[in-house]
Amino acid sequence: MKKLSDLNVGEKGLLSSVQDEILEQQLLEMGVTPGQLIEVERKSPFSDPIAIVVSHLLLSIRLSDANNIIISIENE
Amino acid sequence: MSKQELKVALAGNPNSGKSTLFNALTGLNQQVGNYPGITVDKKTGSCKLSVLFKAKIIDLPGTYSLYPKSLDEKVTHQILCKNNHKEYPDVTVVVADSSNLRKSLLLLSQIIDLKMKVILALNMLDVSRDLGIVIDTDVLSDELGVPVVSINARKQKGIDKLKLAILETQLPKRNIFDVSVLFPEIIEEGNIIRGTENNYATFLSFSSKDINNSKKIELELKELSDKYSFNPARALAKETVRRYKSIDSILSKCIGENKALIKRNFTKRIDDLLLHPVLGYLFFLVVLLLFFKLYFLGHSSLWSGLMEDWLIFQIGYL
Repeated sequence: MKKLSDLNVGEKGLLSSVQDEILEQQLLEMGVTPGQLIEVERKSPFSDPIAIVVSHLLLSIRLSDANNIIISIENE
Repeated sequence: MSKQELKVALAGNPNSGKSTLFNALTGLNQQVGNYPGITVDKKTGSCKLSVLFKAKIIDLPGTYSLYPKSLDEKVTHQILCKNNHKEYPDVTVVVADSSNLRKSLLLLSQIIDLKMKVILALNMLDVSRDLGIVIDTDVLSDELGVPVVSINARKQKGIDKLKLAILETQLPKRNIFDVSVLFPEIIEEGNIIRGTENNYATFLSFSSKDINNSKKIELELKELSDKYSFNPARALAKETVRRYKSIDSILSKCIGENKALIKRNFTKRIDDLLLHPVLGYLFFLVVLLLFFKLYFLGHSSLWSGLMEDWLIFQIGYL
C-alpha cells in the first residue's frame, strides 16, 4: 500500500481507497472506482499537480488530494 | 405547452459536446470551447423536429451525476429531478464522449432509473476509434433499454436520426440498478410516504431538497432517515460503486478493443518535450524572446504599428 503521491512517473497500481469523503465521491462519479488501474502519467515541479491515467481518462490531481489516495502496488 | 412543442434537455459530462450539438440542432451560435465548464447556466433554443413538431432545446451545464456538488451542477439537478419544474424535459438526450463511455453511462443510468424518456447520443466516435475502442451500438441499446444514436456534432452528422429518435422515444424498458437492493427498508417506507414507486427518486429525496416533495413529506423523510441513521453521503458512495458494477457488466458485452486501429498519440510526445521540468521552461523563454525580437524587428513604423494593433486587439479580446 502506498500513497498516490509517493508513486513515480510510469508507476502503476490499483486504487485501494480514498480517505476523504468528498474527493471519494468526486472520483467515483468520474468512474475512478476501487480496483481500477491507475498510472502516473507525469508530475509537475514539486509534484503539484500530478497527472494520472485511469482507463483512457487523464486526470490532474492536487498533491494534497494525492496524499489521500491509497494505491496497492501489483507484484509483477 | 404550446402546440406540439416537446421540451428536450441535453445532458452529459463536461466537454462531451452538448453545446456543439445544441448549435447543430438550433442553428444558434453558442460559445463552445475544447475545455470543460464553458456552459455554466442553461441555454434554450428551438428546433424543428419534423413538419409537425417543434422542440425547445435546453442545453444544460455538464455534470458527472445527478447529485449536485457545485452551483452549475445544481441547475442540471433541479431541471432533471424536479418533475414540476417549468423546464422539466419530455425527452432527455445524454451526450456521451465515446472515448470515455463508462463515465457517461453513470448519468445516463441515473436518468433511466428515474424512469424518464432518454436517448444516448454517442459523440466523438472518431476519437474513440483512434484509441482502438469498438462499440456495438445495437447491443448497447438492447442492454440499456433506451435508443442509442451515433452522431458527430461538430460535422453535423446523425442529427436527423437523432431528431427521429427524439420523436419516437419511449420510456426505458428496465432499471439499470435498483437502489432498493442496497437499502430495502428505507426505500420501501420512503416510497409509501412519497406515494410513488420510483425508487431512485425516493433515494435522491433523502439527500436533496430539490425533488418535488411537499414540506410534510420532507419532514417525514427526515424522521425516516433519522430512524435508520441513514447517512446520505455514504449511501451515495455505495450506490455509485454498485451502479458502476452494473455499467461494467453492460459494457463488457458491447465494447471491444482493436489494437490495429490505435493511432500513435503525437500530442503526448509533444507534451513530453514541452512539459519537461527543465526543457519546458527553456521553450517558454525561447518563445518569449522570439516575440520580443519580433516586436522590435527592424525600425519601420509600419511593422511596429501592425504589432501594436495586434497586441491591442488581443488585449481587447480578453
